[in-house]
Amino acid sequence: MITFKKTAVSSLLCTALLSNAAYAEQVEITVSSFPNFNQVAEAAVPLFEAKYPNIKVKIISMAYGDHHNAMTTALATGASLPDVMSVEASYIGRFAQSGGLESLNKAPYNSGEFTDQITPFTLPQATSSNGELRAIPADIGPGALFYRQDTLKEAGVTQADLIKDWDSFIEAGVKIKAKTGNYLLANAVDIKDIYIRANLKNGEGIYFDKDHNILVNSPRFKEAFRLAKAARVAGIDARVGAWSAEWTEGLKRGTISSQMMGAWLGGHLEDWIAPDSTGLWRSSQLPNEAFASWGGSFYAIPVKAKHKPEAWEFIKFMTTTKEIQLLGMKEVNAFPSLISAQDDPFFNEEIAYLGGQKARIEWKASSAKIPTVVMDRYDESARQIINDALEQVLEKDADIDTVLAEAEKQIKRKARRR
Amino acid sequence: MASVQFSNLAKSYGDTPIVKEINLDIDHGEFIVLLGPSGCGKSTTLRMLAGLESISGGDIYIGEELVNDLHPIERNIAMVFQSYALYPHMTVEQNIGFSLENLKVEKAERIKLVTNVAEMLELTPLLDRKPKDLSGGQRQRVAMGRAMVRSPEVFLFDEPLSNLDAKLRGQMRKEIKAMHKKVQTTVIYVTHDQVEAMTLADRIVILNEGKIEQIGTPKQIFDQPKNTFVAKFIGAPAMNIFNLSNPKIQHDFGVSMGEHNPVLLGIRPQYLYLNENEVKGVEKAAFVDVEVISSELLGASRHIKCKYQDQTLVVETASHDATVKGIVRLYFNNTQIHLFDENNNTITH
Amino acid sequence: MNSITSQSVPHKAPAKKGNFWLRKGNKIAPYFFISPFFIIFGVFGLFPLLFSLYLSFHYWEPAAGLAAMEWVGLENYIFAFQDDWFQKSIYNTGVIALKSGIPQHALAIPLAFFIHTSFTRWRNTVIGVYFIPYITSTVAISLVFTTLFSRDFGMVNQVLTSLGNFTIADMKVLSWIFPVENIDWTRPEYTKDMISFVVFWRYVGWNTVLYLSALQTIPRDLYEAAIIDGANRYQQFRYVTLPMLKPMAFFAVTLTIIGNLQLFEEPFIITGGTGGIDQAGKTAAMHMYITAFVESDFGTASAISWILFMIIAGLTWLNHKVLGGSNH
Repeated sequence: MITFKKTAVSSLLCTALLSNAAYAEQVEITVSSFPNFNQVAEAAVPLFEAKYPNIKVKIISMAYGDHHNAMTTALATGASLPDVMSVEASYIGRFAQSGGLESLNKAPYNSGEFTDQITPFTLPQATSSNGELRAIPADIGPGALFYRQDTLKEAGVTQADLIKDWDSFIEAGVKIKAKTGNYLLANAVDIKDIYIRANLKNGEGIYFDKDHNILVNSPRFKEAFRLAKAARVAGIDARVGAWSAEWTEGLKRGTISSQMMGAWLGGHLEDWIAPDSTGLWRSSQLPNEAFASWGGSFYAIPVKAKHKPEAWEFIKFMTTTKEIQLLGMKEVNAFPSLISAQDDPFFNEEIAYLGGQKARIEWKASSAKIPTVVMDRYDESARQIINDALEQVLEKDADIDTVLAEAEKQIKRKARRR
Repeated sequence: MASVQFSNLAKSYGDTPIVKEINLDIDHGEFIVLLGPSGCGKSTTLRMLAGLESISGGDIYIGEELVNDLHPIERNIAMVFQSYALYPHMTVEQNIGFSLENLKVEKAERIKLVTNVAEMLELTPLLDRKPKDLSGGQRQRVAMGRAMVRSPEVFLFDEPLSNLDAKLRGQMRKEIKAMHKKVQTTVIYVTHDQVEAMTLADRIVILNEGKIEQIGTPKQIFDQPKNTFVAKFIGAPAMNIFNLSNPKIQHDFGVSMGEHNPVLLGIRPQYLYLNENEVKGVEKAAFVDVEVISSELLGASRHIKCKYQDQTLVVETASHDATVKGIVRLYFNNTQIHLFDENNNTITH
Repeated sequence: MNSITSQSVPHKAPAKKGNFWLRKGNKIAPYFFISPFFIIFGVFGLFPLLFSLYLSFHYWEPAAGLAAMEWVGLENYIFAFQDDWFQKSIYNTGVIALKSGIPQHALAIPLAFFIHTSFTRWRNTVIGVYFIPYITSTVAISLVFTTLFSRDFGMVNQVLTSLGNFTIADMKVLSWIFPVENIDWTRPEYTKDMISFVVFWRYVGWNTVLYLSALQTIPRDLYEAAIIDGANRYQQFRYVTLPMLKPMAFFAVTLTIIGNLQLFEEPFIITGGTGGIDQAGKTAAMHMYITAFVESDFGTASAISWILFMIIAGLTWLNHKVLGGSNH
């Protein structure tokens, strides 16, 4: 009841402010962000200020973890909140649920006017359980499989062998290992991570459904664990974690011949991981008709922000302007969430690093097929529990059914407050 | 018990000599005091004997054995430090017994020895206390007990009483003397306090700038100082010494500038008297006339500072000679004067 | 006495007007002047302390704002005690604390004794070298160590395997003691050892400096007395040095207990903030951080911090019983 009143009052206030905006003097809004998502905003600000001379934009950037901790604290205390808050995909579920952010699909914002132009799977991530959209997607991370064309050729394996299904994927890995001595993937855990995200039914999350039922003790997880174990037994994974020194070095030297990740990995490979491997890498969709997303960024307005109308103008500018969305793609490989941006001729260009492949078109095609995933605030705890359970299976030969049953109990205990 | 012999003992730090060519024979059971001003090398000599300091030259014998290169424990000596150096975390009993433990003495035997020493030093009721709970005198006794318990051949004392107040010092002096009588061990005792030296020593060794100035019994040292250094160092107030270049002084003291050609003359303040009848041993006392400058009362005695032939002179006299002023006549026995040659050495009569 | 009183000038009443702060009888000014400490202590010390205590009895989703607090009584404490993650993190903390703490002191004391007795001219340089890790940024240290312990490219594995593969007449003579293949130091069985090693390496110099300063206060006389009493070098160390170091040991061990139980930076960076595979390197302080900032459960995190505080207080008390007995 109280919340309702507050919302009503603030809505009234906003309407009043919006109508006065034309006469207002110059306003400075603060945008808090994190690298390298902040680079898009920085590149866009001159264009924005040219279009809205009354609004000045100040961007405050902090390291990824620090930024989200600072935003958590700011929301908790209601102090030193920015006008526009950037939120990364891992945090969006919790932030959207918290009630500290404006409902953007309601008046005066009425995001419904344009949300049909945005890649559909992202919107539910930013939607609270009572159906309020609390943030607008700015970029997305469609999943892709990057692989070394030369290694495959040497081993006599084709792309089709890799992506037909998981058993075929593992079989291809065995061939590659035998012929070239290279590993097919960095870590068997990757297979589990893709498998549990793929082919989710409507209303299902990874670990929980929309009614908070725990989904881990299920055929989906059992099969994911089985495949990961099979890959480990086959000896086709390098047993390294992503972003470790071994991982980057493995990709650089080609001893790791494929990696499943967000499409933006292509940019990282080209820029610093394997800059000398031009023309050797290729991209394809994920094996077994799996579609998943890695990361993604959102903009939100805190309930206690000072300049909401101006903040809203900025968010709309960033998320619904085709040029800006393309700018993000060019600047930091931020894949546009705006569908019209994905239709730009830029997407038809060949990518020299990927041997002239028109990979962006493929990524666009996958992004349209990414299922809507229900986010849950206990996802992070569940992820940790499932990883620990898989560790038991991979390293200590524990029984899959037993560890998953145990994991379900642990998650239940952790997720004690609903 | 053992004799101790230093032969040409020397010590220098770099190019700075601290102890120069010391030769000294100490007999069994003798109580020797090394006396001298600070920096004279007396502590260094003691520490070389103890084995805490290396030897730069010469030899040290304990008994018949050359100990130059022996470890302290092999020299069979014991030492009492100025600071007592008691182990603060050990009880009195453990402090005293520590060396026995290191020497692997059996436990029953150890307890017996510690008990005996504690008895002797009246420490029995304090055996379970720690040093912080003891008074200065008690700590001193524990330090002595620690030294005694091993029945060493030589006892070394390094200014053991200087941390005590005057009253306790007197009492401890007596206790040390009594202990020496009881155990009859060779004792080498370092001090800068001449009262300790006079009261304790069988023989005193006067050290100055790393050299021995004189060796002798307390009486010898006091009555027959070998040179002006000893003459001035022993006795308080210090001996009055005059230059004999003034004929008036020669005449007053009846000095004949004969074959020995004396340069300096000395007389102790105690041997100058205000009344003629106080002078003993001669029929006719000699005298000098002096002018009183000041006088200070020290309880039982009074020191009167006088001017005599452009030199100052001190007289010690009984305190009831209340207010002495102006010109006074001082009487003395002519045989109690000391004469020194141009090398500051005493001319024997 | 009388003359003084009679001569004293009659007391002059202070002027009513004039500087407020200098006026005699001003009862506010003293409090004003001592207030900075209390204000700063109140804001940065007392308030967070009490607030976290208050918070530990609540459920709070911080992103929802202060109004979202919900009283749950002791539930957070009960949950924390029953939570196997918390238990595991306490176990990890204990193991790391012991594995890094005991060698720290076991090495620092003899090392300090060695430096104290053997170095004169180069002493400060040597101390400085041992002290450098302590003042170096944890991030830099942890990054260097993760590089050194890298499985395929790290120097540690290179040295170990080259020893393991050392061959004489076609025989790997050292393979029974050294590995012949690269060791994956991120495996859970090694995580705690690696963290312990980094912590040990980092703080051994600090403890050495503490012990060294204590050694310098032991009078020379005591050693000389011990020499005369026939104590050899070991006995001097055992019966003079060690007991005299007890008060400093109490202080240093207390600092180690507190520091090790609050261990956060090293494991956080070495394990990339996750606690490592199987959470083998997740300390209690990390668990508290993750509970608060990853799981967004500030209430339980506060409860954990208070449990941790009680454990530290208990161990410090125990340490006082063992080492803190007064000697002086």
